[in-house]
Amino acid sequence: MPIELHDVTHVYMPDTPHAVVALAGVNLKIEDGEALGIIGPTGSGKSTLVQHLNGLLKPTRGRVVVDGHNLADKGTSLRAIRRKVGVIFQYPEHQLFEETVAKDIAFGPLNTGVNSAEIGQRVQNAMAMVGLPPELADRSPFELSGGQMRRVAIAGVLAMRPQVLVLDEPTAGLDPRGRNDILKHIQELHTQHGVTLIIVSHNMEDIARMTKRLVVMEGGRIQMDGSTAQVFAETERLTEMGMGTPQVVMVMAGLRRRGYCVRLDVQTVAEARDEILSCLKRGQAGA
Amino acid sequence: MISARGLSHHYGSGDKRVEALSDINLTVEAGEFVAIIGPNGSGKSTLAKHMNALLLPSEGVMEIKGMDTRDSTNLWEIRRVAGMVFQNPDNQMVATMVEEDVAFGPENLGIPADEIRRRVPAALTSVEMAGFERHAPHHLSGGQKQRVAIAGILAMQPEIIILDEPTAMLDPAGRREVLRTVEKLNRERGMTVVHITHFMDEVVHADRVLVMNEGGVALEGKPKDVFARVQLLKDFGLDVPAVAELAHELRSHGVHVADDIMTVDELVDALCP
Repeated sequence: MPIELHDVTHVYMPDTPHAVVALAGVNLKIEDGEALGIIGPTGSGKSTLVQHLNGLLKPTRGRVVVDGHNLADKGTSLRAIRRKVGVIFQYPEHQLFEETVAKDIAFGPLNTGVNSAEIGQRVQNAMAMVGLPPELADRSPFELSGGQMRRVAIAGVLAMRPQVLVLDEPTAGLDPRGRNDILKHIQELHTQHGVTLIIVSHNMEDIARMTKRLVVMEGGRIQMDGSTAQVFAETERLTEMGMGTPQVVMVMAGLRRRGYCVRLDVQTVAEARDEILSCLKRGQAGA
Repeated sequence: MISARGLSHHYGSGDKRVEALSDINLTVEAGEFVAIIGPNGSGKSTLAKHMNALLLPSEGVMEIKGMDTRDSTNLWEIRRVAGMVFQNPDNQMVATMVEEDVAFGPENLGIPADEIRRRVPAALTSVEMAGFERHAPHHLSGGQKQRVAIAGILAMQPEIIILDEPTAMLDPAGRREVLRTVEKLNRERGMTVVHITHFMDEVVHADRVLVMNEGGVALEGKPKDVFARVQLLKDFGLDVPAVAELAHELRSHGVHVADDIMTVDELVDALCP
């Protein structure tokens, strides 16, 4: 289910004095099984881009092609596309509304005509995938902790069995434990179930941990696109754009300036540790 | 400036009774910058809401500048002295223009119009938002909105600012703007600051860190001393800043670096003597 954006431009309120160009000629191809991160300052077009991936917004110019179907074609079923491309917006727990956790998770598949025998199975599976204990199924979602509520909302999208999962700020406002739990389960969806991940985040540590490819947006355009490690290695350019880099990359950049020849393309604490240790062993300190 | 003695707070009653805070003893001095961290549900926000009398103790006492929060005649003065900034900037904007938003607090205190006209631009200057007086708040970035919210508090001439996860919804540039503003107010004006956050790297410049767990203060000290307790923090479900963790990892592999490293520069200096 590759997703392709061909020269996508989106203008809000076109032909008015308030017209805003949110996307300006974006080209992007996302292959099956990728783990893609999207970062960029507020207002750079990230959320507008995400809403094009399952046809919530239509391009003013250009084409969005999902699994070979141009979303603008009359024959394309947006319903079918939205089953395959699940989008989880910021603070999805604000959209919970049912009396019980199970009913809330079942809402999506029920509406797409999944029969009731299968629904129970899907709800169970989705709860397991996000690590919600089965005994919570009959509880009110509003009695749960913030991290649990968010997992209910994610399970509601997973119950649709999407092949692509788009997450906008999945860990915002969660404490470190809630954040670790959610990321661990999202990671498993990717590695064990082959779900394509597209993660939009301001949290560079999350991006470093979860993604292999990284797109940087600014002013409605894609400014950088490469492996996550390579993009983060461009510390100065990212800082100029108001973005951060993971702390471990900043340590490596600092060591480089002092004459150590360490790699910049590290993503985790463990990788940084190993790189520094092997550098010390090689005796390559410049000082 | 802030003093809690034997403070407990519970929600609900009978079977549904939840002990949100139990027996908190805490003193924050004038001019101090105190950071509060802890997992969700540990009582951080409940404690913060006691500091400007949004919540009252079930048992024990909370005093702000010597004023008991349970005495309702103190309410207005406590809320003037201790201003609070919340997580979601969009929920805090009340007016259609920035200057009206900043004026809202002092207007409610009955400050004369002439005086408000002096205070509003001064407050906006303090948060580096001068020139935005006639802008619409909903067109500002998240970081700008939070700074306007801080200006709204400054216009009431407070002595304490309490920030309840003010950066949770901001991008990295917005986070830096808000933190820089708060640190400046603390350093240059001696404003007492209580900063609640999940971002461990926002804590390293505080005078003191309180770690809350299950309604109590589980750990307290200078940031260096608190973050040296890597394992204990992990047991609470908290992180240490990635740099502190990297230093800890290197140390356990025999590299000689100090055990109180918290910032990128400190680690680089330690490795490049």
